[in-house]
Amino acid sequence: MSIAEVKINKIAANEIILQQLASSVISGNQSRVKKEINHALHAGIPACTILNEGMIRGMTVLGRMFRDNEVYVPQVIMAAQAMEAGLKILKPFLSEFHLSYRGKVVIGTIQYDIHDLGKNIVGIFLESSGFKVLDLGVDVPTESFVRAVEKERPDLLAICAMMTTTLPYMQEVVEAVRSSPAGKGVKILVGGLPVTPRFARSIGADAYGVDADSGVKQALKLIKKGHIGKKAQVR
Amino acid sequence: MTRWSEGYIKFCSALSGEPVGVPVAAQLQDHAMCLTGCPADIFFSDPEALTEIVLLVTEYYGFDLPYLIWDVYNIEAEALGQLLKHHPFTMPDIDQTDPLIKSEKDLDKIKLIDPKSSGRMPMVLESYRLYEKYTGLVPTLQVCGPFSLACGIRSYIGMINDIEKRPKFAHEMLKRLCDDVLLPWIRVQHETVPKAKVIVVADAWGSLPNVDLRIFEEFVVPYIKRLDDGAQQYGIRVSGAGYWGESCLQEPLKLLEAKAQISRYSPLGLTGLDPDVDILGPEIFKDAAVKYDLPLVLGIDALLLNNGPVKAIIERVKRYIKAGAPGGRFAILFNNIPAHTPPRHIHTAVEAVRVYGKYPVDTDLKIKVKTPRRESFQKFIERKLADNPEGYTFSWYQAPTVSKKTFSLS
Repeated sequence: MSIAEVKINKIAANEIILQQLASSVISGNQSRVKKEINHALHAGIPACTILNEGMIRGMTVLGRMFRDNEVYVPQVIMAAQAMEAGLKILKPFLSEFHLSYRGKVVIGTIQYDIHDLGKNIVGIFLESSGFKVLDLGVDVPTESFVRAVEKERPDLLAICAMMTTTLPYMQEVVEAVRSSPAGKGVKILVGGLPVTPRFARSIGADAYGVDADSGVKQALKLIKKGHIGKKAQVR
Repeated sequence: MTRWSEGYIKFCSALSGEPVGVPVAAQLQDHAMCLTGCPADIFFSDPEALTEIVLLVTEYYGFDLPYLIWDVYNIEAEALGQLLKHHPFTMPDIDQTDPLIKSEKDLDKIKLIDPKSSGRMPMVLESYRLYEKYTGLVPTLQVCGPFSLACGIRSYIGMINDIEKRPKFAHEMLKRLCDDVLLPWIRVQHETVPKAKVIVVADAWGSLPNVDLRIFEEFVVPYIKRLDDGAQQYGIRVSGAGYWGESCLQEPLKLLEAKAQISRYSPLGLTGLDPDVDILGPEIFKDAAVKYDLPLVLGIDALLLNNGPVKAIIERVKRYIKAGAPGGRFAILFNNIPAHTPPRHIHTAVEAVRVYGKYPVDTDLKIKVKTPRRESFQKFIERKLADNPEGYTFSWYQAPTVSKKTFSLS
């Protein structure tokens, strides 16, 4: 067998390993994800390739399946947990850049609102699209959003509201973040059941996501506008 | 006879055949709380405040029947010791980050409770009594569904993990919730309101896409049936409610068929809620109701009511009546009117039901609906305070903490 043939065979073998990993992420099989990551590392596949072409590829497919109602929230939760378990193994081999090459996102549900499911799903898909996600949780007071923006200097702030009664606090957060020195350049993405594009515009948000899929698309669009992408380009 | 008797008769005749007009009711506790400016801690704990405010706001808008409902997903969980988060102007909610059942070892925390004294269960019982007293009608008895209660005390993510990794434990938890919590609670509710023939089990966590059809069939449906089997000894039937998600399925009829099975004892029959009805079209729901020989209730999008425009609200009502009303056995529900919904949107929606819902239904429905002129809620409440034919206590109105500022909504 020639050297070229050996190389081709290795590429093909690696592709099979990565495909299997992607498929295990989609099916949310934690033990198989762990096993296949170790297998991939032993086969000499670079950690960033395992992340992008195995795990993130799987989550991207899952995101499309979720959008198209081929899978539901339970499958997304199981896949996210498998992804998390896999990342624990992979993290020592990855630089900070590989885990956040799209940028940093601070995400949270506004004050007096303790709905976390929608926010969690958006967080899962943002993370699997290459964002570093810092989750502030639910019932987050306005000042906590401002503090997080000042401390973390994120590229994007994602705010979720699930009740009409708590919508006014979304406006309060946008205004408070915008008026803080660190928050002037932060892009703000809003979403949640009662939020509409008109409301998002009226409170000065940069983008609105009707669901997880559109939330991620909007986040990526904001990058393409050049604001967030700088770090990734520099690197 | 009370002011509600006519609406009750209209509802009964609508759900069993063809009445004079399509009846309309609403789930409006958030909006009622906001309209009266009553703080959440009073509204959701004081049975007089809850019942009187719901009745007054229902009367103000001219709905046919008052739908008395509280934070129905919290009552049993709170009575078991689950922490709730309380906020000044929103409904209390379960703190999903701190579930009562943290591991399998905690299963014994699901203990037989005393429904006459646990948590806010006495408030529910007293609200039933007041509803009967003020309206002369039998209230709709309600409990939280087993699956939704499990999501409350175990957290939704915890429950999904149990289903996928520890299904036996998930089934055991659901069985205990049925046998040790919900059935004793149903018994006490029925003792309080012996005339009630059906109890509605609110189980929205069991909707798609929160669950898939497999989970629905294995972890939701069997426990509604278990409650129904158990409750029959008290002379009452159980009906599952609050499920949506037909539009998440390639074959929505599968979910409609399952819903028809577990809601067959409900006087309301089969329900279709927006956005599913809007996405799939009301016809599929009407066809399913006819197929399973059930009345049909279609729920209008809460956000459409909130956001408008009025023209779109009228069109939605018209579309649903056109598909649902022919042949009768049909009603309209405004499901969960948002807190800050402009009253003129609601007045217009009710007017649209009145205009388009007259039998025999005109298939062209060419008549135009205009926003009716109505007195402000403030004037209405002042008039009610002066007349007070029902003998309301208005104790909540007199409370010094009650803010009147939201009356400006009118």
